[in-house]
Amino acid sequence: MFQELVEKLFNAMLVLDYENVKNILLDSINNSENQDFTSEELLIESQKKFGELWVQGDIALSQVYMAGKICEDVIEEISPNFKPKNLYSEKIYTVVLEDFHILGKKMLDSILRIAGFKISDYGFGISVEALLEKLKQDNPQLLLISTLMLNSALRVKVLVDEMKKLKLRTKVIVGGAPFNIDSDLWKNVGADGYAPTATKSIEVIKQLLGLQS
Amino acid sequence: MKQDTLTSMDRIVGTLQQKEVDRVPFILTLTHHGAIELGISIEDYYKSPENVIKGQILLQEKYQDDAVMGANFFAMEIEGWGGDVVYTKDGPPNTGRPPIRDFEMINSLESPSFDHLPSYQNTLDIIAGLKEHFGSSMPIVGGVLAPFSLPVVQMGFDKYIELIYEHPDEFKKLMELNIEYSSKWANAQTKAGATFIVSFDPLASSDMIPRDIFLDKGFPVAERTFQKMDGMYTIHLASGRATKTFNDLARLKPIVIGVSTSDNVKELLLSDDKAPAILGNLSGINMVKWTPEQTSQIVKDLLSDVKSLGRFILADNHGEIPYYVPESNLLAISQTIDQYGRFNTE
Ligand code: B12
Repeated sequence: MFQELVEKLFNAMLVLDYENVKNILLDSINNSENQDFTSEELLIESQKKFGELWVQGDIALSQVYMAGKICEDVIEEISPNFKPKNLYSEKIYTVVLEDFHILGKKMLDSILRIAGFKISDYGFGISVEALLEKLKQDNPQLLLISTLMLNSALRVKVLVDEMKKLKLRTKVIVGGAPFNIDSDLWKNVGADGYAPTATKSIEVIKQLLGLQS
Repeated sequence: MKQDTLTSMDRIVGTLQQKEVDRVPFILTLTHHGAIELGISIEDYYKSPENVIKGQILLQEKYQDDAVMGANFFAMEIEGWGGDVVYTKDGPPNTGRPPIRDFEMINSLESPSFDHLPSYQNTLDIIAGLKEHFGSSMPIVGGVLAPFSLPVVQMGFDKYIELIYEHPDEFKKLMELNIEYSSKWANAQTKAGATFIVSFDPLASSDMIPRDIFLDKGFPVAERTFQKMDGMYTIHLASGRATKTFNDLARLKPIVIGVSTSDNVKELLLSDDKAPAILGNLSGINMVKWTPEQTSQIVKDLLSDVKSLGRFILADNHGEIPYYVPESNLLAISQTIDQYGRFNTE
């Protein structure tokens, strides 16, 4: 049942069929009593499939992005009906370190909100020094960093080292093209976690913060 | 190093024409490494064409590769459109905030003239200076952001995807402007002495846009741009996978197609014996962590895979080798080609 619906929703998003996406979601919300899954799980599972197919080279980034956009638009339209079942209160921030490439972060913010996380924003093009100041002030549980340029990705190491000196306990998850291309890079820069796609980060977050799935 | 009997130009042109040459040609696409050679900051390096000319000459002497880079960083093109360039100390300059803020703006936009902008003039001066130094012995690489990929930096990737899918009129308008602009910029470089123009077009990769949308929207744009270009051109997918659109791109008659590490060069070459030559496909990012021995082995493996097929120029897969790739690995590439890339010695 769940897999069937995931498939249906995936296909509707792939052909950008807004009405169909909306109806599948509304059906699932209205039917929630009789289902052993939530409507956000349905959404996330179908988004996850987009991410996996993209990593394999089977679909294009524009399709992943447009699927995410349809989700957001539908949720906005039906928002009084759509409420994630699990709402997490952990203090989580996202940021584009040094780069000005915001697409990865935008996709990340969107899916994490759907998953029930409260996401705060450190913006983009921010330096390690400025970011450290903010971390000292806010002391979040988790920081998700997106980078597109290799030199920005390498800057995470400087950040993590400084955080250690300052005894900041914020966990760091990284992502973006350089980390996908060099699969060891996330460990080499001292991050606590990494995910190849925005949706995959949900599992990593839950694991790092010890939240139940 | 063995004594070369051919010039780099002979070697590259011969390879493109499927003639017998002395060894597999290779291009190291080194840009900011010139600043390291001169011991100055990347920002200072790019401020003066003399620096870049000197840097390119030193790099070519050191690694003995088969082309020099006339066009060195693409973020500069955003200045033509009213945007800013952001410099860093250890990487390529980037574009700042995209100058096109909303779809509306496109309707009142005009194709810019760039003659008055120093960064464009510097690029032309670099090309002319390299031409003066090398004459016709060395290919000089010019480059443009392809009209179909340029909007990623003109308006941001998110907005551009929405433009392609949801705003057909503004998309058309922007493509008209970009075709005019890119072909003009390419022709200025050709006139200054660039041997060929690399059209960087990652949106022609199915990693970025599905093939059917590329064929519908991107292909005709590329076709018209190339029709307006005076000199030879290559298509480079900037590390996007080429496999699904390779045969389509071949129909655009570039002299070379630059492919990704995720593509199988041998299969692509075998898929069409009339297809252009292939440039690729070492992973620049992974090259940072390889040892010289690993680098050498990877180059050997690639050579043994495709050397006998011809139509192959060895290079990285992005069109620019990252700042942190060490000299020892670059020398390893150069030496391995010298040893294993020769056609008459094995
Ligand atoms: C399209 C493209 C271009 C386009 C536009 C890029 C842009 N967005 O501005 C053009 C042709 C203009 C271009 C130019 C350049 N590019 Co370019 N380009 C690419 C390409 C093909 C895709 C980049 C992209 O935008 N992807 C879309 C984003 C959303 O994908 P993503 O970051 O992978 O994000 C996904 C996941 O990683 C994840 N994710 C992202 N962030 C996070 C964070 C967390 C915490 C998690 C969990 C997940 C996550 O979510 C996303 C979706 O699931 C890549 C190669 C590649 N295969 O990726 C090179 C690449 C990004 N380019 C690169 C470079 C160097 C450049 C230039 C600087 C080259 C030059 N010398 O001029 C210029 C400058 C660009 C600029 N903006 O100033 C390098 C950067 C690495 C490096 N070597 O430093 C890359 C990686 C190519 C390579 N293989 O080396 N480029």
